[in-house]
Amino acid sequence: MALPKRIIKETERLMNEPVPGISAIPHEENLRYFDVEIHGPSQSPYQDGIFKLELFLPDDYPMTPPKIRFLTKIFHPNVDKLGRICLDVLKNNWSPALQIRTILLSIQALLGAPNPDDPLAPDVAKTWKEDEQAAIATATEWTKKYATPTNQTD
Amino acid sequence: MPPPNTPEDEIQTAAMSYHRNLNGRVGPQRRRNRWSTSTSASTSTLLSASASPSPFPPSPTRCSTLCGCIPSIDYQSLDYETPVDQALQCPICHTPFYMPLTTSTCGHTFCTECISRSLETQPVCPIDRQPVNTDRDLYRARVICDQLDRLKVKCPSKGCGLFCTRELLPAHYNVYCEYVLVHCPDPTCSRRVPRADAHPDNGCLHRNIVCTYCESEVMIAELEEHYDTSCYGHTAKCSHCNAVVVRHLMDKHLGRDCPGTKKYCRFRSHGCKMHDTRPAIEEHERLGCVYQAIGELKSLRLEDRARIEDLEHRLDGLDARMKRKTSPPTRPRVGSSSFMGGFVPIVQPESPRAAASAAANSASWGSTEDYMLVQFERLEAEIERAHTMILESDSQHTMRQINDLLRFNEQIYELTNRVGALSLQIRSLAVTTQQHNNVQGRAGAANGTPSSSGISSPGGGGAGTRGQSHEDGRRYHSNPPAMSRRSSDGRGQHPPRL
Repeated sequence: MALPKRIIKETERLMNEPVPGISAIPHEENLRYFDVEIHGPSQSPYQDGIFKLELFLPDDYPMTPPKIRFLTKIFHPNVDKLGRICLDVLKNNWSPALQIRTILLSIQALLGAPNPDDPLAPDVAKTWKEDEQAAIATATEWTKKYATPTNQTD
Repeated sequence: MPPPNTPEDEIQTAAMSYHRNLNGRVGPQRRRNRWSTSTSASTSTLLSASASPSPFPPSPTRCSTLCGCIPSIDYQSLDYETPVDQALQCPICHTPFYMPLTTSTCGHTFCTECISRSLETQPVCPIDRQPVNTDRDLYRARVICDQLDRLKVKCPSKGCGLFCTRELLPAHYNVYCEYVLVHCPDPTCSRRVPRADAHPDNGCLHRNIVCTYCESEVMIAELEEHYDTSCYGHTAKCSHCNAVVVRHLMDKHLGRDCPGTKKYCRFRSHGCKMHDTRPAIEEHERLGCVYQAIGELKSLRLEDRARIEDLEHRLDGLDARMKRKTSPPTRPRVGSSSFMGGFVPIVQPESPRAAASAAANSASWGSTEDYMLVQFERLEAEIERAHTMILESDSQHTMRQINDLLRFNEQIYELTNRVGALSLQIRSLAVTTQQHNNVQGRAGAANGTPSSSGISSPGGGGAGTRGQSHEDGRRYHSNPPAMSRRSSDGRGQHPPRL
């Protein structure tokens, strides 16, 4: 199946005008599959961390949202153990006018503003609600442990 | 021809109605009706219309009359002459709008296909999520359509390359473009041929015939290609020399044999500017191009230079080896203090071992005589150097002596000056003392001769005056102004000059 013009255009734009702190590189053998890296937003427990994600554009993209998953372990109330993300625009609120870059920006924003009231990882959300300081400390520790470039593990 | 009321027919009807609306002769009421005509599943009609778009009614063209079908234009993959403004691009497919529809609630515009598919999943505007009713809230904005019509696009058929306004593209593509692939004139053949070849008189072009030139079997559609690439029988006339040449060997003919084509002299690289037809150039070369000799000289010179460089290189190597052999590892530097040390190495080759090694290196030395000769030359050079050094130090020594002498001379001169000054002072003092003596003498004798008081003989002044001055100390004190004036006068007359 030929790649839609929209995907080609989006990929070109991601390459030529990358979003600061975000990189998305398509696989050579499958141009619908992207390797994504998001820098943790400053002033957040994820600061200085580089988080790897995988992004896949389904056949009926942009009518259906892209599938995105964290590959790097992260302590976040809206990201579960498997790296799945709880974000409205990735589910019901998806709109075909949204793009890869806008979605990745939303995920970066989600890192800066965790939402424990709409959790995907209940235990993390519980910690976040009961003892925010401890939760932030854990998030910082995990960032250092799993998302720091020198010893990053999947 | 497909039977009427097939899905394809329905699609075309939808597209036709869209374009009729584009002409703007339909009022808003009519526009609304447009969507409601296709029963309950208006969205699906829209969708199917764009999913397999054949947006224009079949025109009475060669191809349509022949086979009733031409591949449709894929508007999303068209190439535009200039980059299209972002405002004219659909936010969903990111290409210039095709059959644009605008929402009446929020004013956002999308391609018909894009918005239909989006509304299918969620009945809201994809940009601001305002509710949109497929039947009521979409209309066609004329100003956008006009702008889109004026965009210049490239004809999508391979090999055509024509640029025209988007408005005219369907006409060109559907009717005129010679490169569009249409069905083979033979209804039983499923392959396609360029429109230019698809004439009913041609019959099916996908059957083999025997080439009239080379008698091999070739498909009619590929005949031209066969002539150009492999047929040895089909010839053509050379445009330069009118010779008859096998078509696919024409390039070779033009490059090698054609007497009509122009070429350069063989010695162009040496500066010959001759550019003429092949026979003229051959004649020119046969008579002997002047630049041929130049070229030969040039290559000879290059050879010589290479040889010289090689020899120089070898000479350098030999020099270096010779130096290594002649100079002992701790050879003293021949300096002012130890130039005698330079003689040491002379003795060395005399020793049997050195002589033996010298003999072993006969390749570089030739013989011991040569070696001695070299040593002799070296010694001569050293003696010469020592000689110059001696001369140098000699002159330095002389210079130093002269400098010292000059200094002494100056000092002596200075001292002489001081002595002169002192003697003058002493003399003036002696004169003063004598005058005093004379005055005393006159005072002692009541009627002495006053005339002799002024001057005394300088010769007798010396020791006598000094004794008298001590005796008359009181008088000096009693008359200090006179004394001071005189002494100052005396000093003024003979200032000490140092």
